[in-house]
Amino acid sequence: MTREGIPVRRCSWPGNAADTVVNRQVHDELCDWQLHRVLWVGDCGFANQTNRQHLQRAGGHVLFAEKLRAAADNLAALARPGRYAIVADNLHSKKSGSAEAPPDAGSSCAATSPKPNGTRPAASSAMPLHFAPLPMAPTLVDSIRGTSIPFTIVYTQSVGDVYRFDERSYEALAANGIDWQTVLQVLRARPRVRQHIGAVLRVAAQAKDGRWIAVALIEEGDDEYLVVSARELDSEEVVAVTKMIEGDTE
Amino acid sequence: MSREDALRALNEADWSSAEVERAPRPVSVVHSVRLPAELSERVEAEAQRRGVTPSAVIRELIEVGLSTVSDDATVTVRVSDLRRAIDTIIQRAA
Repeated sequence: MTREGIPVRRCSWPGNAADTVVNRQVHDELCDWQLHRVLWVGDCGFANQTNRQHLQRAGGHVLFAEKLRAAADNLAALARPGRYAIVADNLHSKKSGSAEAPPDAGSSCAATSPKPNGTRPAASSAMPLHFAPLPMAPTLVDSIRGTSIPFTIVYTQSVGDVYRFDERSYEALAANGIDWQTVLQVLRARPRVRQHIGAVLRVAAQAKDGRWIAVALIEEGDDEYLVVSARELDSEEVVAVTKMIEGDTE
Repeated sequence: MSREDALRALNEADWSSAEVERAPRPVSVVHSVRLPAELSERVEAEAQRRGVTPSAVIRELIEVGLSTVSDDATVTVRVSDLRRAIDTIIQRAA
């Protein structure tokens, strides 16, 4: 449809045509018209990997809802670190951006939580709330708002972190005797530890010169951070962070 | 959230609520640069002329500048040849 609601194309299929086949055909035909940036919204019947990958070709996006217990990757997505946005009283969401997300997780993976008391699953209940835009069709959000069923939505995106340096960043780093190259090593390092303190993100890791460095960043947007300053960890902190990393591997 | 808040958080010694990250994630870095007014206006004018954003112009100019630097090979010339070349340029300019 156009923005005015005028249909641009109409198709018909036999009554027994599989939904996934129908969707893929429509997607391919829309792509022929250069209409490839499409958000597909569907239920769990569409959420198989082949379908997701097909519908994300040429910039398409998908949003499929299914119960948490329906798939192991939902649980994995839920367990990843992330913050929740409150879209409505009964609708919380978080983005679970991750480079190790499957190739087809480039846009969205949705999960509904059947918890009757409106709380989020225990795996993530300790996470702070964060107001962030939700890449969902407004009609879907409206539909969820209109129910009394609590929803938790976890969506994954294979996007990375964006770190911004401004001139004050360089000045603060220089004042603390830490060069920006070292900070980039820490921000790219794995393993590393990260800690959210309000809207501040602290990241600590060992730099190539052997020093353990902590970097402070201000969260400016989803996965976007401003580098504020950095410092070297003291010996007690090094012990604590090292134990944390080593303990995490056991 | 101010930078002062971030600096206070940076100096805290308690890492007990931190989490360990092992999986790599793509990282993009943005280098913000404050331009003098005149230079900024020149960039904006060039962007308007081309119908692109100032960011696109800056990115392109940096690419051109860096490629020039990377192609800048060191050569050895005799002093007499260098003087002759400079004299030739001066004569042409006169």
